[in-house]
Amino acid sequence: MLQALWVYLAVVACFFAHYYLGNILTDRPIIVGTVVGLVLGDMTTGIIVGASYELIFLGITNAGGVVPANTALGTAVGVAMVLLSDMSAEASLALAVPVALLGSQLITLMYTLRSVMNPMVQRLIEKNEVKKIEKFVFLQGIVSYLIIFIPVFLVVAFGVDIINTIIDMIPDFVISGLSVASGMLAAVGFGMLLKMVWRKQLAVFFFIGYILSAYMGLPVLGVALCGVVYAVVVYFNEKDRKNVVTVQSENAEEELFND
Amino acid sequence: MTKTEEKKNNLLYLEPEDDKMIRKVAWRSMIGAGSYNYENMQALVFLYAMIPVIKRYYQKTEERIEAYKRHFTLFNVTPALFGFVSGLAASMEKIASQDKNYDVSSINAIKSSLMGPLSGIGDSIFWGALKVVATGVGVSFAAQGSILGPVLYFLINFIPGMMAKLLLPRISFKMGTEFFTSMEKSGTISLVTKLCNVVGLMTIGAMATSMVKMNLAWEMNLSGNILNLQSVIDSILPQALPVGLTLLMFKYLKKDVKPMTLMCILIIVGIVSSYFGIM
Repeated sequence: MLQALWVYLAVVACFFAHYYLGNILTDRPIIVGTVVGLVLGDMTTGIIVGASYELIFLGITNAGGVVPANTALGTAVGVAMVLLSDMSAEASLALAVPVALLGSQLITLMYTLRSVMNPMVQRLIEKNEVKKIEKFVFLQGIVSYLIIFIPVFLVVAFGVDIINTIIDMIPDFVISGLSVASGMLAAVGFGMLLKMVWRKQLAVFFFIGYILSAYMGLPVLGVALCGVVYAVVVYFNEKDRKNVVTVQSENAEEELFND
Repeated sequence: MTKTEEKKNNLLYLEPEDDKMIRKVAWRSMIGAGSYNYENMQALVFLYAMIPVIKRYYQKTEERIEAYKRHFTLFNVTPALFGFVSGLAASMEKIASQDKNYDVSSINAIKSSLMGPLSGIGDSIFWGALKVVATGVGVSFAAQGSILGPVLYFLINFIPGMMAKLLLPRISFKMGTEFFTSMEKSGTISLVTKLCNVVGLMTIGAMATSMVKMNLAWEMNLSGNILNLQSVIDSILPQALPVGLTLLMFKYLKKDVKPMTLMCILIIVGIVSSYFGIM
């Protein structure tokens, strides 16, 4: 039980370091494996199992909102099982993959719940209480990581069956509904951004961006470059016109004086 | 050239006051994706990073609140390059606080036009190149149980990332200040801010198209012919639903509907439509 608590805290620390120092990849199996091994007193095995997990989870990067699987959660459970119950690395994988997938569901839920907390930050801004916002930045991270890694504690302390029981309790449409909603939530964020940037006479450029992306399949970088090229052309045109105008007015002045 | 002059021409040199502020911005920007959420992504950290800047340049409470609000809007970038944008935003806040006529909407326009391109570059450097090299080196040592594996893996990722996070904000703040000051002197600043809005709007259009996800799974059965509604929409107006949803949200937000209300509606719509198999 105490060991389960240690593993749980270690993996939360790895995850926190990863996200709060700018994605330094301490959530990857090779690091998590090492740390969990260290906590359980057999670092060498931890490193070896971590390395084999690293290769399996190679394609998965926790970047942005797309979280295919929570590798830290899966690795912590897998390595702990190898070290505590003499499981082979291959057998532990059968356990780690479902837990990693459950972890990604939990992260989806976490990002959705955090969205719902945004109005609270807005209220703090209105009251000019930035000290509280500064605290909230850290509190939010620590609390949400402590929650999403509870499965590590449960599995290491009580075994895998408990996780399956919990998963079976949640109806399928809720899980798939949340992932549908998570795709749509960004629309509110982009709406807020538009509220800041929108100018009626410039609105057409929003639709140009849409057309370039949807019909011509340009990536966002390509669209931004098109915009920059357009902006540079307009800038120099306007500048030339201004120069012409000033030169003309200077000439006019001279004529005036010539009289 | 004297020694102080030489120092001032250095790309990384900042006045002591600026230096103190940018250091704070750089460390705060590191949290990057730490407070990610689906609605405004990394907005909370952007606000957090800008707090020292806003406190320094604005003294009136109302002005500060306006500026805080400005930075609590959708933002998302590869965390290693986060500081580049917050440093630049700091330089724009500096100009905006000195010039009452400065169009502050251009600050968010520039932020939004940078996030796509920078993420493209950042992802390919940090996730594409560095991480793969680190994995190759790290795993080959770690497979034999050597501590060198995880250590090298960590350092190969950590050192270049940390350098980018500490140095980029200085560079972008310095360049930004110089650029916007010279624009203001030549009297073209209003044109520049307008063009920033153009690029910003185009990029937001493209991002709303590609980042908001909405797909109908619903199939109509018309006397034996199965009609997939999504493919019909795709053939006429591809990605019409995400962009339409964004504009709809924008419309309601302009009418001062609370974002919270809209989010709750979207979550309920998501669960209900998945129950009936619509989405």
